[in-house]
Amino acid sequence: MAELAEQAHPGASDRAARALPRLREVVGPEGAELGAEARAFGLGVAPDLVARPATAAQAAEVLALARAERWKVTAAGAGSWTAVPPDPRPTLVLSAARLDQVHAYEPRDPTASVGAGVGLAALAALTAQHRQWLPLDAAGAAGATVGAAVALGVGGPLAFGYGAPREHVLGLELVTGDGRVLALGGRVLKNVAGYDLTRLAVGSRGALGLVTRVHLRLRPLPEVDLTLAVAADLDTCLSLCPRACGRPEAAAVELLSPALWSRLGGGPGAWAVLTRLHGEKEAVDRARAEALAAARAGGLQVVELEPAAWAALAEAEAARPLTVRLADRPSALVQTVALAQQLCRAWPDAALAAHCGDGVVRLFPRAEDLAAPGWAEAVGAARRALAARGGTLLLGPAHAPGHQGLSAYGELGPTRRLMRGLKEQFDPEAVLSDGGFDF
Amino acid sequence: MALTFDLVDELERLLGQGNVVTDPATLLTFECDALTSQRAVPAAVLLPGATEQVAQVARALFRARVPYVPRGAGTGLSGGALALDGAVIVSLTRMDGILEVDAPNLRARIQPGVVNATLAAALLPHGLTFAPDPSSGSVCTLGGNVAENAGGPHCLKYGTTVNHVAALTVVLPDGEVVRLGGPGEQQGFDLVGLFVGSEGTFGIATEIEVKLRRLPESVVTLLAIFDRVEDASASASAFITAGLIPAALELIDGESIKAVEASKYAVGCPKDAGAALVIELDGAKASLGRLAGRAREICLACGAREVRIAADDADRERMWQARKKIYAVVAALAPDLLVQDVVVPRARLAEIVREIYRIAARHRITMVTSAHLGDGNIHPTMLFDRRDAELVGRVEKASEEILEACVAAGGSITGEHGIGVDKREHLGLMFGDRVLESMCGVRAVFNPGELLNPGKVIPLRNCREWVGSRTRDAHG
Repeated sequence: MAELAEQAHPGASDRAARALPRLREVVGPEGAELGAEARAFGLGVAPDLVARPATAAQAAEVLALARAERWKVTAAGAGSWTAVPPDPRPTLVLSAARLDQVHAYEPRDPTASVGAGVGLAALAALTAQHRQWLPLDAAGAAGATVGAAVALGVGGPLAFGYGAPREHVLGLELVTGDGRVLALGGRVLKNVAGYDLTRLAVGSRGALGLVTRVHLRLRPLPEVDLTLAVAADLDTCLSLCPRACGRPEAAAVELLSPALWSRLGGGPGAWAVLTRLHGEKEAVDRARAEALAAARAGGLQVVELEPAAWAALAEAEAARPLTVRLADRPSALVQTVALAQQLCRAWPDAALAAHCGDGVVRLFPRAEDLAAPGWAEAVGAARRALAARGGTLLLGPAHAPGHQGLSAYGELGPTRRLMRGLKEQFDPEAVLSDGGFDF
Repeated sequence: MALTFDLVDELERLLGQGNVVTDPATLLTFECDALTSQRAVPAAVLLPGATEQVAQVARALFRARVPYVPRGAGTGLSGGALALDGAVIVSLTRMDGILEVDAPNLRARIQPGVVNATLAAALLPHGLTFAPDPSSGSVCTLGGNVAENAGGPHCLKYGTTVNHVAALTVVLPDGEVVRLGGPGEQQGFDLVGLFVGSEGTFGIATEIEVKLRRLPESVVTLLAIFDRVEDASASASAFITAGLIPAALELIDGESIKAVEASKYAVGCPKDAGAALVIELDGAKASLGRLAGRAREICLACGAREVRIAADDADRERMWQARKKIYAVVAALAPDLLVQDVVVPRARLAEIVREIYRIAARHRITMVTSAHLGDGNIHPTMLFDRRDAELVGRVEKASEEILEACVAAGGSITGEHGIGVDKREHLGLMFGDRVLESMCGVRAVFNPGELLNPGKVIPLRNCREWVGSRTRDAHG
């Protein structure tokens, strides 16, 4: 018997070790292991057990076993940002990593039906062969799986031009907390048959079930993909955002703090606005000419960046343990950035980036910043200030335990009752974690 | 469950006497929506003027256990506004205010009774547009658009209603008022996405915050004439593989063309054409000339005999008329119509269109077909006379086979008209019992006891809450 690493709740580990053979009967010897032996998970303590079913039916069986054995299950993709919430019961991570087949790819639609464990990068490589893509740059690591991106439902810079993850999902297969395998939605663009349970599942963060398969809407790659960057002080950068967002070709407009801009090779101390332009050659050429003219008039320089800059940005963000997302109307961006900067008093080396067109400001404290006292109060105060204006403050992408009592989301208000009811429909015995929602 | 005098008094106190309709002659005008084959006279029609009035009315009806049905303009094609079981209709048509246009944030707050075309007109001076443009746009209301997740020709490029709703104020069946969505990010489950398309069975939306788009810089419209409808149908995939997504790609078949050309809406389409496509491209002026050229090449490569590019706005209007007037023209050809609303994957369009015609021919049905071809949404339209029982039987058989063929091809039984009562018992073609029971369960979270808009969407046998003593649909 391999040595067990320290567990959060030692009593549970014995039961976990005894359960392992039964779990392996369901998912095969290579499909289950003790948490301590598993690949390290992103945040928090290791789970007691990890199961990687190879089929939806196996996932359903694992959940049935979990229900009988009273385990607490956290759904996961590849597991890179999975955070296991503390629980007195044995914890099991149910990972979709082995559900990594591409079941169908029809370039003439264009749609693809893939296992939840298929990586976004792998999908991009496949669809690029037909000059197509899934315009979803999920918040988080480049190693993200389709299933995780869909379950978290949070997009990246491209959400401005192409929509949030929910806009790309035509249907999906969900294995519910009570072990039902549900084929939700469909495979076609327009579909109003019955209630849109697909949209309920997207962004449900594993609270309703494990997403095992996703039917995706793809798009043709744009004719031209061009990124322009302007570096200046914060006020100047903020003043550039509205015009940049107003260009029809703007697929993403991103404000970067000096910490992030320097990672992309920019000069020290400067903020930057990145504009990603997608479209036909003539349209993008004109947009570029306009941007150059406007910059010259303001005494600013415009730099062209490779598309790889966006991947580098995503990697830099994913390397930080926590994201604080402050969001309000785009017209209030200046105030939202100001509020974020107030938070930075507790975290002077935090990086900041903003999806200018969507009004979402993200703060990325470093790991050492999270040891600073009192930051939870500051975040709580910022959340209340935003809520008073109708905005939101979310902690993401994954809810890490130990955020000093802060929930990932703010007050749900009257919708909490609806959410609880919906949770009960799919996971009546609360086998699955809450996904960071405060039901 | 009947309306007591006391309840009517209470409703009149809440809404004002003029806003509680009980006279039989007026009630008769609410006995159906655009699905005229199914009728049910409501017990009363209520006309609230504000969210609070809707909430008060809902509370009163819920307390009295009186079922009620929300209704917009009554243009729905699936019987979603049918007042089954002597339900009361709550009409939202008085609530027709555009409350705010927030141009910098591309948002507008509107009441549910605002007509789609009225919103479009109000947005024009701001250089803005609300993308979903259903064919009934001159009459239908946004509340109805939200209930059905309405589409329209331009949803090919821009998406359907659900892609354009940021937030909702909803009165739940028991009268509680909740706010779904809003500025900032999604907190919790996507309740807006779940509500849109719930066909008035989860609650009544009394305020809608819509997402707007800037008007495109330029638009070009083409009309492509084909000898064969299958060739025209194959063009959707041809556009996609060429990497060109039009703003709209609409199909009309030979029978439709003949009918339009014989009417006052004639646009000069050759009467011997097998099919025509109305194609619209939008974007930067500088690119459109080249894109129009590519679109023409794609059509010719698919077998088009001729491709015309609209020279000016008047020309463009004429081309669209050919597509928009089909329903009006075809409705005059026969006493009754059955309009289907199937969707198939674009890659299967040519094959399924061929199959649809084979099915109609096999059952000796006169059929015309139009389609939002770009998103695979086909409207086979069968002409018949409901007094001819034998013909009705054949029409029903043919429409069943068409539904089955589309589902077997990986499609859907409804792309924009909704399930309502019309396709309720066919929902099982698409979903197994477990999913249907989940849908029932989800509805029960919002609408316990199914007091709001009963008897819609979910097949009766899948719903535990449907009590056997209630009447079934008024079919036949």
